[in-house]
Amino acid sequence: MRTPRRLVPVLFILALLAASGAHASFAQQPVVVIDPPPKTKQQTTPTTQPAQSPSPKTQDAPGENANRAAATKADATKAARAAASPINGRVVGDAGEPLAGVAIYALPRSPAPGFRSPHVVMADEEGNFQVTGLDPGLYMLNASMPGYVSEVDPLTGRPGGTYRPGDNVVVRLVHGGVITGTVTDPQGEPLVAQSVRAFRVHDLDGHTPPTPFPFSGENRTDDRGVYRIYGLQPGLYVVFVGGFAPSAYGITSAYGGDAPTFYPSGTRDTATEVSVRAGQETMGVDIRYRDEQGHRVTGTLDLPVVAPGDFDTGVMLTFASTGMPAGSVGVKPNSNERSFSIESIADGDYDLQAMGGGREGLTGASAPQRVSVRGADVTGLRVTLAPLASISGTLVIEPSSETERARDACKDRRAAQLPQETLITVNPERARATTARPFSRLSMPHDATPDETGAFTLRTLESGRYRLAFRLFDEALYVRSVQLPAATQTTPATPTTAQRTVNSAAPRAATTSTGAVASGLLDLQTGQRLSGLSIRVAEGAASFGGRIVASEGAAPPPFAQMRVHLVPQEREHADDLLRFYEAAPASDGSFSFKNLAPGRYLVLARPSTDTDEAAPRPAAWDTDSRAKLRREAEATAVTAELQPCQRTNDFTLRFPPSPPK
Amino acid sequence: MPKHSSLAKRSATALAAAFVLLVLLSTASASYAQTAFAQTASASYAQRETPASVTGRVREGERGVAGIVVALLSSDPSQRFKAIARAKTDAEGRFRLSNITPGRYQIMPLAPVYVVQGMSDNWPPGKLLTLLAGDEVSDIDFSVERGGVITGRVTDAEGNAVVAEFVSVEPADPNTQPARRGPFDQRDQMTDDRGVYRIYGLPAGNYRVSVGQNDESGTVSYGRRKVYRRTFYPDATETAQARLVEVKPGSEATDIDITLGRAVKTYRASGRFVFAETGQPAPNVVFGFGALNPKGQHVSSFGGGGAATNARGEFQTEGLTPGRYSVFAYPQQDATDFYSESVSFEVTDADVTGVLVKLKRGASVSGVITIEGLSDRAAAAHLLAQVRLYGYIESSNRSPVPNYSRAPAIAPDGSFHLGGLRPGKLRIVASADGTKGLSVSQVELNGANVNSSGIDLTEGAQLTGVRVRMVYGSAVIRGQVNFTNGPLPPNARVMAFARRVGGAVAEATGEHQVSTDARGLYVIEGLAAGEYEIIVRVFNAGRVFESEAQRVSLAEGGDMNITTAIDLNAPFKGGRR
Repeated sequence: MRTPRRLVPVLFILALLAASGAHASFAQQPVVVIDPPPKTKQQTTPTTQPAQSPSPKTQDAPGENANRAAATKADATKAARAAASPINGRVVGDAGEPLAGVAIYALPRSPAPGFRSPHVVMADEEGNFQVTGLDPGLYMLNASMPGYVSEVDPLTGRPGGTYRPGDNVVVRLVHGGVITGTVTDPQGEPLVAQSVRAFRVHDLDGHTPPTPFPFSGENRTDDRGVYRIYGLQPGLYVVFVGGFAPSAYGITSAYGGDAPTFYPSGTRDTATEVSVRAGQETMGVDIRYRDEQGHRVTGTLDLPVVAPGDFDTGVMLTFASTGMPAGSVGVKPNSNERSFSIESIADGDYDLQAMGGGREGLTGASAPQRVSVRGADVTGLRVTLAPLASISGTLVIEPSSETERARDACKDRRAAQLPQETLITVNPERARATTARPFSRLSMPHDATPDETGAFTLRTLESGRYRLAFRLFDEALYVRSVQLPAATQTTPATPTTAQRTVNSAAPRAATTSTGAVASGLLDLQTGQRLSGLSIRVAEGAASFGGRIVASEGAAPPPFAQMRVHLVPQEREHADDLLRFYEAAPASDGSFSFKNLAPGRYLVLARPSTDTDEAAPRPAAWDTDSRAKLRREAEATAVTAELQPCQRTNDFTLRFPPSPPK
Repeated sequence: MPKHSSLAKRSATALAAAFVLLVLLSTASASYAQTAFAQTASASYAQRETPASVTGRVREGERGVAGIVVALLSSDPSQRFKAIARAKTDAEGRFRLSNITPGRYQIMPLAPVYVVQGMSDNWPPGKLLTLLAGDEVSDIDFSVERGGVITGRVTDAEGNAVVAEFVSVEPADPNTQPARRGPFDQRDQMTDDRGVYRIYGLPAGNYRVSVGQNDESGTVSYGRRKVYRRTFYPDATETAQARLVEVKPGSEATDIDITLGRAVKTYRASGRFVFAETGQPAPNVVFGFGALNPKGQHVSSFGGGGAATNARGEFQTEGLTPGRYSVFAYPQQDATDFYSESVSFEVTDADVTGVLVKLKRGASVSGVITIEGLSDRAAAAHLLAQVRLYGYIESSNRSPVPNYSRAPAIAPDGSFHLGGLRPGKLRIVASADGTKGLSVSQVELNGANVNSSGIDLTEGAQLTGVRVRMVYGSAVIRGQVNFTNGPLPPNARVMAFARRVGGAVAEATGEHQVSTDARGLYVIEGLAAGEYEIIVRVFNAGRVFESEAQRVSLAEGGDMNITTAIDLNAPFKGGRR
């Protein structure tokens, strides 16, 4: 057996993390693609089935669905049995030319936890592909071809997109970048067969990517010390040799235990960033190896409860606040000591976090803690695994009324609305300017898709405050309300804790019922299982689009830094975050909103106050900035009244706005 | 254990195997027992901690080679990726590893540019070395030769670079050992984004260099993009037409460019899984498929990427080259009551549809596990909780259809149940992760020993009354083999065997066997209390020399030293063994 056992739990944990519905996906595959993405590889064994028991006796999805009505269940099961339409698409290259022989992965965003297996199809000679045999639901689509990279969705920081059966998709692959150079030891001799890794720390604009899983690439030096890492996403990279971790291949290194040497010849703190552009080669990234013994970070892992039989735990060290891995090790959860030792660590600041899980996915994590390494081993650390929280509930699609359906605009809407075609996301609510906070691998958006009955569960959540967000794939739908039952059933939190989860940001919203979560805010305690979240989605959504144009005599607006806002004009929706919409205009100033609740809105375009992040935080989320937004919108007094099913795409929005008459 | 221990040829397999291991070895419910037992094995070393040292030399011919890292690796395979100690050779090629905790190790140079003599075909690589307290071992020498390099570029029929393809290098002379450089990474043999490859550290000789798939059988290009027919340097698809590439020590064969033909067209196969009893579709069945060679044996097996059938029981696979395949369901970890037949189909020049695979109700076996050799009952109970039990159906051909079934957690009273078994001869295996010295001593069916016969299962049989006797041993034998009249022939292998004699479980406990190290030292751990017979055998050129049997009596947790003298002038016993 080549792959060392001690490595396995870490791989497993990482795989669980990737499969946990968190924002990790096959995006995490090493850029040097030699085989299907990790998810695929991991599943080429008989023993890594999806977590749900495919026991032939139970044909329904297991898990949180036990309490749904039996009749609904039977109907829904029937519906799930119906074959969905295929996803059709085309793969094109840099210049729009078709690419043949590309593997396309369609990964179901299924509500059940655990491993999901992608559908894999091959594009034909013209680059066309068709994914068939799909069950209704949402699918993440990605393409893999060695040396090429997918376009990155700027909002998620990940390649690929989410689609539903019946969609037509164009998948664009571009030539990745290359980093190449030579590694020599302090005597000037080539360093042979050593792993060189490149981690993307910023995009080319200097933005830090929102995902805690940076793009990376790896290759090994040859007999001349030469390495060549190809297929890299454009961006700014740090490049290093040695240091932690056998790669997945678990090869004994002649330099194991050494601290990593970052290009050109230093630590992470003194690393020079290397710029990588699509299809271009960055040469001469030569590294002088420091040949310096690394330190150890050791300690013990505490489990709050006895681990179930298939439980595995791992401890991970990342460079402080960045999420870039510095080392990891598996811990035997049922051994007496539960000790861990992460080696090959250079002086610097790190964040340490433990995770654990089994076939049901990741179920435990420790709070991340800061670890400073200064010239010596760090010993005696204690890490306590705490249960992760979850949020579950039901999404109901309310049919529109007879009168609404009678409207001309609403006549040609899809007949069957599927709850599975909704993405429910929670974003951890971060206090600003807290980059000094230890990095948690779980501090990222988590999403879930309801099953055919509308039941959903968001898992692997740390304690803390979250914001809800939605993505509806059917243009006819909008989110009408989000509610928690008045006496929220929570485990193990106390009733008082549950009360606090309700709507703390908008206490004075007079017409909101006590259980409404109009603020979209949810507070979670450690291990809490918040249930009963009720999401009501309605038919008759409007869409609204147009263009920002310069006011007479004004300079061209700075589109790239701008945001367009829709602010609810009706008093009763003043603090209902579901009625606030925000979009970034395209480079020509055009903008578009979908899935809007019908009603009266104030329309405002203004420069974003939050330009240092790749995905700016919506202005409506904070009470102060929401009030400011409303004041500005009321001052300009540009309004739009949206009727059910209305489609507006030619709205002209002047910037800067002219003062109201 | 399933036969997953053979060396993984490809990284994907290695990773896959890692997950097999993960699931197979994932530990049972928490217990203090594991540590308590693990301590017994290492305690004896801890008592005499005076560190040891090792010196030696790495030379090329008579000249010492400077700057070579020599590493001491744990003899525990799970720890082997990490060097316990390492040292660089000085200008004369000498190295010194000092302050080493006594124990058993593999020692080897980590020098992938070099060919280490006598080590290319060893696994684990390196020399076995047992270090006693205060040992100062010298003259651990390695002879190396700088390997050769083959480099070139791989292009397709249109002249485009072929990226991330594995380049195969096979010695033309079948007597030459295949080149396997100690720490091997298959990515070192892949083309890069320019189609360029560079393979170094090759032993001198003539090689056939090729890219692509052997077309004797079908190939599953699952997610692997294009499939090319195997093409030898420079552009030959027949082995006989391959131009040999000569590699001389330390030299470089350049421009070994390979031009591939068109990619092989691949096809899709699809079908359904149904329950044989009802004909109803079987949703969420994790399926696998494999290519068959002309004899109908499986040459590869893919888990379908862990893909499962959809809500309508349908499955499909992509990227099949023309050839014969079979498709089947993988058993689920929580043993279900069903097993899958394996259905074969042929891909010629079109997609294959309508493959129907039936799930049949399997046989079941239930019984009880007992643990002997441990007087502490509570400890035995804790140990029992960690045991995992598997059933295997013996199979004569190389079937990738998983033929094993794992029992759910063992009940506190030791009872177990295995279900979903296909008909055939059942073997039962049990183990406990991390606990040395726990082994199955005997499997009984209704009181009769079925160790050698196995259990015959007929279709749908429901057997009860199986008893799996396990024995726990914590005693240790430390041996020293001394040779008189001789140097030992250079290729001789020396092994020590300990066989339990007398007592109820004598027959089944089987022989414990270990290799002796370069100095004739060995350690046998995990022995149950009892009488043992120790025999040392020397294997050389198909002949066996056997020492006189020595008897020792071991107490629970005992630690025994034993010395065996072997006269190399004495006549060899027996013939080929």
